[in-house]
Amino acid sequence: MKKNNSTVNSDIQRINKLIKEFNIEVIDIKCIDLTGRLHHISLPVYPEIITTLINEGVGFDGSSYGFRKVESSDMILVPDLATAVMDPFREAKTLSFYANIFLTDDERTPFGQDGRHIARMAEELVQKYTGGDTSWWGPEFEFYIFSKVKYDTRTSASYYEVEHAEEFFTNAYHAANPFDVYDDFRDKACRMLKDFGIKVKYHHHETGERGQQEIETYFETLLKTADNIVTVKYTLFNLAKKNDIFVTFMPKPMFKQPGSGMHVHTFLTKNGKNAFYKKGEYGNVNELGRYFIGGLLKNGRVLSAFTNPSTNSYKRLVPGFEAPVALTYSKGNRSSAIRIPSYVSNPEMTRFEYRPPDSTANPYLCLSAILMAGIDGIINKIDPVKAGFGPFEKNISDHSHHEKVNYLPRNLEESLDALEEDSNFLRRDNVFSDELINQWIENKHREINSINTMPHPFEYKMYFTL
Amino acid sequence: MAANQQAIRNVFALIKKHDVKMIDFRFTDMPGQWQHFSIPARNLDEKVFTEGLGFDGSSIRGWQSINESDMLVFPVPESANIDPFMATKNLSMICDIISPATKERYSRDPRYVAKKAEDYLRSTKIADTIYCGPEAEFFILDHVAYNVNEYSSWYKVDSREGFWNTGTELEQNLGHKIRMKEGYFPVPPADSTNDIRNAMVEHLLNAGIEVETQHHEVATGGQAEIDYRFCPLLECADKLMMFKYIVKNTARSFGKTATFMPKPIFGDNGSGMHTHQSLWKNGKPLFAGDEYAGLSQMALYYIGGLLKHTPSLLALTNPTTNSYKRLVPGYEAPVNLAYSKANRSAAIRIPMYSDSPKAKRVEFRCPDGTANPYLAFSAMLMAGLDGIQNKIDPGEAMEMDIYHLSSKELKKIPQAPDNLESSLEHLANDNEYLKKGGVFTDDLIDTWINYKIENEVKPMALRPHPYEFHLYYEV
Repeated sequence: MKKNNSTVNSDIQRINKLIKEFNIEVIDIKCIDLTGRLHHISLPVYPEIITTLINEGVGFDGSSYGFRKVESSDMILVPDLATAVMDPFREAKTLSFYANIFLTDDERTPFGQDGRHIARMAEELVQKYTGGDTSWWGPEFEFYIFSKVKYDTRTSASYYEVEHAEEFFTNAYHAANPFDVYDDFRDKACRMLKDFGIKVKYHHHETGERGQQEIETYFETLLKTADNIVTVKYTLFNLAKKNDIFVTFMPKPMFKQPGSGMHVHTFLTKNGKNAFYKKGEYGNVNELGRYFIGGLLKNGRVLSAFTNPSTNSYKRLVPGFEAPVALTYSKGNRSSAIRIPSYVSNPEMTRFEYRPPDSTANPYLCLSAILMAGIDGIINKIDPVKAGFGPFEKNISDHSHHEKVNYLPRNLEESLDALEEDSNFLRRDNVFSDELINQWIENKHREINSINTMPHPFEYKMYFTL
Repeated sequence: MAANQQAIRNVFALIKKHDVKMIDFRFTDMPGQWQHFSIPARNLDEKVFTEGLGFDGSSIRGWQSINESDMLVFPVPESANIDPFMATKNLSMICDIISPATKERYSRDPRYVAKKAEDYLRSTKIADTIYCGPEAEFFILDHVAYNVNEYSSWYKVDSREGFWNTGTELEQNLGHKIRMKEGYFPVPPADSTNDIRNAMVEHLLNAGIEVETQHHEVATGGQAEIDYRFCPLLECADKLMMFKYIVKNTARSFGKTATFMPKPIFGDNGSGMHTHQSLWKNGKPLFAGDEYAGLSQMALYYIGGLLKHTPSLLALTNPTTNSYKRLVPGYEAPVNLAYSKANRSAAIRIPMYSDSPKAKRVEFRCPDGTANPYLAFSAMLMAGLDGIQNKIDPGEAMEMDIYHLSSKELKKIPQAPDNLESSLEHLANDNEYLKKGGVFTDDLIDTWINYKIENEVKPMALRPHPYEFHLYYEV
């Protein structure tokens, strides 16, 4: 991360030029908190603002971001100049940056719980351990659009209610007009994403017949992809607001309707060549790729604490909705956690898809954890075939009939228990620190505990008269 | 079926005296709700007590899997009671369930389990009687509405005395609301349900239930408690069914609605059903002695058994997903498996109000009113007996307030399961003590676990909670 002075200086000059050229009025610094919510702070432009920001950063209260307090030092946000982009949702001309977090000690130590820092450390391990040099990531964004949503929980009442503008046939996957009510919205969103530098592969109506959408993006490196995930959600939320509609990435906003996941396609390259390809093997995936898969499946239960970190996540991970439930791999079977897409013909695109994650994850931690699990598989040569993880072509959604197969946790508590028991692969080279893992478990238990004290409306149905 | 001739004659005398028009037959389904059907009084003859009356058992919850759906009810004449709520003069009786094919009592009839538990107790020679005294708390509400479908999930309760109504201006607001956790127990007008509770007490006394006290409970929004005098297990479970029936119907007659849900409102105390219990032999109390808190060694072993089996016991004493929203720290609910005298923060308390050996008893504080009382009381007895039979040492008593222990000290105390699924798993793994003497059968235990998983645990796990929108909607 340490850049020599001349690079920094040329970066600053480049930004200063942008500020001048586009008459920038505001510098906006954005950073997600530990949970994954985006925060920002705005600074009106003054001369040498970028130099000042790089040297001094902006102080902030880390505990309000959900981080564990660092006793010895305050924390600062410092803009990452490589992330400069115009923010189209501000009236004032605004140049926006994602921030890195540093401590204010003499060494300017990067903050160990900063997701972007963790992502960088994880990326560096690709070269150290895998024989490859770069990891590539392609997330698919599923989400619902509602025409109205309201919710509240208080002493004497608890409710949510969503309304949708769509009414039509079952299985709305790739539904065409006039039924695809929000295709223009998706077009607009993709146009804005293009301006943000995010390439969209395609977008379409998803299976959920009450407003479920999908946007799939092209491959980028890990940190860039995680930044992009934050940007995609920021774009969709704000564009929805402008259009008086409501977007949510909640994994299971509606009972009986398909949930929203964030499947992630991934592969490694070496010197620009796909490191997972071998013609003729299962799915054309070579030994390295298989070990990566083995690592994911072996560590899948622990991983879910970061890939599926909400109580609501586990209402999606149930049989019957094409959601993954088994820690297995396969070419066609969608109940498997890992699918090797068989439609891929270009050897350079050889990859697999990890299907459990959802968009309530902190994207930096989610992708980094997946990579760390894959690296663990490579280091320990975890062969998924020998381990009994597959390949399985049949549906393995029923827990009772495949005792050898491991299943994803059934709730957030089980995930956190798994994380508490075994986080060695995450802590390799101190990428995920003890502080981070402990803080994560503590924060997430707080979510569980809050829900655990609150009656559920369905309990009134079951028990009011008992 | 050797029915008591005197009691049968008494039934007909009651019918004549009160000009009864309808006879109501009642029994308890598996989850613990009274079911009933009626016949005109003129159709009741003595043969009903010896030959029973047929009904279709296949629609009763928890009984569906039986091959022969035809079942018989045999009314218990001693339970005859003039119903105070029905418009037409009605005499109700509690019934035993008989399978017509075998003429034997049906193994999934909860009342039969309680009968077998009392028989088993006598057969052990340890004691001849167990007295139970349940304190079933409940809420009296003005309004309740709820619905769950694909697009919405909500409930709303209301109570004029609810603290959430201090600012309500839609109607004349007369104030005197009860603050959260301050309902124990100011006088009216803050106590807005006193007259209703008194009416309940009158009905209970008329039904032969010896009420000891009634009072407002700790929570705002009309939480209430009415205690009745301890009595033998089966009788006590019968009385609890009548108790809940009277509470709900009296509330209804006042234009209110009563619920025994363990945690109907968020942020205030839930409703439990602390159950006092003691063993007796030849009319002498067996729980008084010179050990801790004036208990006998037998009582300590009984406590040892209760504490050892609490995790599986809870599947029967706290058998709903909502039960575990009450069993959380901070609301006087027992989450730590320990015993203590007078200290209400332990799962088991030894009341110290009285020095009389007859008053010496063990109070198990976990149960709540969603339990099927026949199964719950029987299971507690079986756990306690297991403790006596195996001399299970309950360990040291807890003297300090468990709620104020440091987290390090707390970790040494075993915890109650924190969800229904976990309790059911414990029950699946720890049920030998229940099956002694054939009191609980494998069929009953399996059916119970399966019913709870398929009808309650799994459906709950699929449905979003409104608070999840608060936590995750905009993530």
